[in-house]
Amino acid sequence: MRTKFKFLIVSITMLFFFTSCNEDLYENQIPQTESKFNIRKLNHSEIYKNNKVAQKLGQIQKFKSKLANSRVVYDPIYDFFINTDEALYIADGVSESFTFPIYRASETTVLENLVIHVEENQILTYLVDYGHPLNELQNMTQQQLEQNVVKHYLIDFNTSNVLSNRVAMAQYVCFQSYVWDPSIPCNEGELVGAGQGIYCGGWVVQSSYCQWVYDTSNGGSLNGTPDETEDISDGVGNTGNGAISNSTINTSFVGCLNCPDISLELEEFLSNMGVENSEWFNDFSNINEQLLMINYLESNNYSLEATNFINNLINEIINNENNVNPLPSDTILEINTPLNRINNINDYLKCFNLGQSASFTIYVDQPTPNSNKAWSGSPLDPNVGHTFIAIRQGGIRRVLGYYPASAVDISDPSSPGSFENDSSHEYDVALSVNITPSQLLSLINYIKSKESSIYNLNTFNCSDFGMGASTIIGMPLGSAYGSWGVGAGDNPGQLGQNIRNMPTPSGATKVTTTGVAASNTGTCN
Amino acid sequence: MKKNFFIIGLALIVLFSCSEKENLIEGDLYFKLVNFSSPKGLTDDQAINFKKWIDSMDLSYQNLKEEDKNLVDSYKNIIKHGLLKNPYLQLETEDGIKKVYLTSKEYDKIKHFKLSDLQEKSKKVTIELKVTELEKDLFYSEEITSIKEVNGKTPWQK
Repeated sequence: MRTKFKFLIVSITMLFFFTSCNEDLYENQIPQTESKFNIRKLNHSEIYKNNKVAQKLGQIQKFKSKLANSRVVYDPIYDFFINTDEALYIADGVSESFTFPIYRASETTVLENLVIHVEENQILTYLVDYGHPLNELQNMTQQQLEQNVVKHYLIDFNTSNVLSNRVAMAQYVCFQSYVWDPSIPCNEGELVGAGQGIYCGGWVVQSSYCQWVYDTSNGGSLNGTPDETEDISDGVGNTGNGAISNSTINTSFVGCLNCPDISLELEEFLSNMGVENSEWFNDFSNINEQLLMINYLESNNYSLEATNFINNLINEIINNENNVNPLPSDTILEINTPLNRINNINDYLKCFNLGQSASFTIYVDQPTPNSNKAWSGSPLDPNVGHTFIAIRQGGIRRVLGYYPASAVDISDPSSPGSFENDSSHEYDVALSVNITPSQLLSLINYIKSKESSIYNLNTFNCSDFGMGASTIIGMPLGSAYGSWGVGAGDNPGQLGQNIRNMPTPSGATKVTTTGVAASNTGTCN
Repeated sequence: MKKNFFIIGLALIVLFSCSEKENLIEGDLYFKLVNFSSPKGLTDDQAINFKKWIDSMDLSYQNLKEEDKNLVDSYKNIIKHGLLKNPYLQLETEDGIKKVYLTSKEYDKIKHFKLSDLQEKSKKVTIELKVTELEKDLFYSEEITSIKEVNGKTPWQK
């Protein structure tokens, strides 16, 4: 009994010690429970409510990468990406900061943030390099954090001044004093998905001791000699650069765990671009061409030929803008990847003026040229041919065909349909005719109506789509029905023969020799 | 005793010479949008109908076009080896397109790949598998040894 009693006493005492120890640690970790800042996670629309910040972000040329379904902004000078869907907002009553996680295509281990600092009428943007990965920073003690060197690069996104931006890589090197703030949202490294109003706390910069370190090693010049160091701080406390900022930039660590993948190849391509080409590429008004070019580069694995081609193409476009050389009207076509899925048919056809006439072409790629065979080649990889169409109006041409979105076969002949860009697709027979504005309208409405239709090998395949389009513009092509084993329907073999053998309609043009269809031309806003 | 060893040795030689060789094939996953049979394998009913169709064509074999004869020959082999209901994949290899029949277990490893997704990501899938060539151009595999999603353009045809 006495032994049990002693054991109980010892246990209670130990529990007491353990509990009080935990308490001390917790108190050390969180020295303050009330926030002296206004701290919030901001989403895209909240960020852009601040006109100054929106303007600053707008200076970074923007493209929405196909690799990332988010608002990705690329800075061509400093070669990083930010996602403007997320920011950490901190205000101390004097100034405000908007902190964005930065990500790069190359593996980076240290945490970098983009901080937009707003104070009175001044707005400055910094690339902040913490020198350590996020997880290391989160595990540091306050003392370790305050001994850590944090580099700030003042950056200017005005791309009209690319060269001077490159040389003005002045480092604002800071030792910072931190305060634990309970209002930092949870998962500060994962702003996306973390719920508003759930707080875990985190370290916030409350004061800084900073020095400007100028580095003109890139060949540029600044006020001051290379590697000159100037102490412009007031010591620990609310310090800063008297010439640029009078207050500390209150920030916290914002990690980038949910950032999209940017291919190393794209990053390398962008970083190797010449200044003129880079300026053109990063001009937001060229966004459509940018996307097509990126698509082309990705489709061609960033081969030397592909990257050279795109660089030459941009040169041609720039020269053309300056009226140095006329740009061949078909040049832009080359960047369209043949057999490319059309994800938005409205967008694909938007350049046509429905108040003007156009021309319509139906192309037929027969399994065997000049034969009504429904298929040819090996039974392991049968060639079933293809029917597709093109519309042309002035310098705008769009080529498209109707396909099954997933595999079909004679036992399972249906699948959702899809449109593909059939630029440069081979054909054996083609028939072109001019169409009136009302016929163009009917044709475009017909195409759009088939966007969510079901492809069926027997009842609505590529030939049915093409024949339907031809009928809509007043050029019916008759039945192209034929059999293939346990299935039957209209098919390119028979349709090709029908067109080949029919009298050419008045005003139409027929081609019965094998060729390659032209590619898309022209873009519009 | 010597006689017994001789017989056993001979039997082993015969046995090994009869067994089909297993080879490694590597290539990019190839998507064929329009085909004669489904890569998922045919259901019982589909297999019965398919076999009836091939049999009916076979009845007039001499009058068939060359391509149809190839079709009949090819599917008669597939039926002979009991693979009509098996799933398959197609690979673009250095030697052209190869069709490899699989077990359901192996097919489960690759069935989630979709052409549209791969195109969207500018990726292709490189696959290596151990195959047995049952007949000319008729491959069967019970083991996919490697599946890698890499940057590149996925090969496909309508």
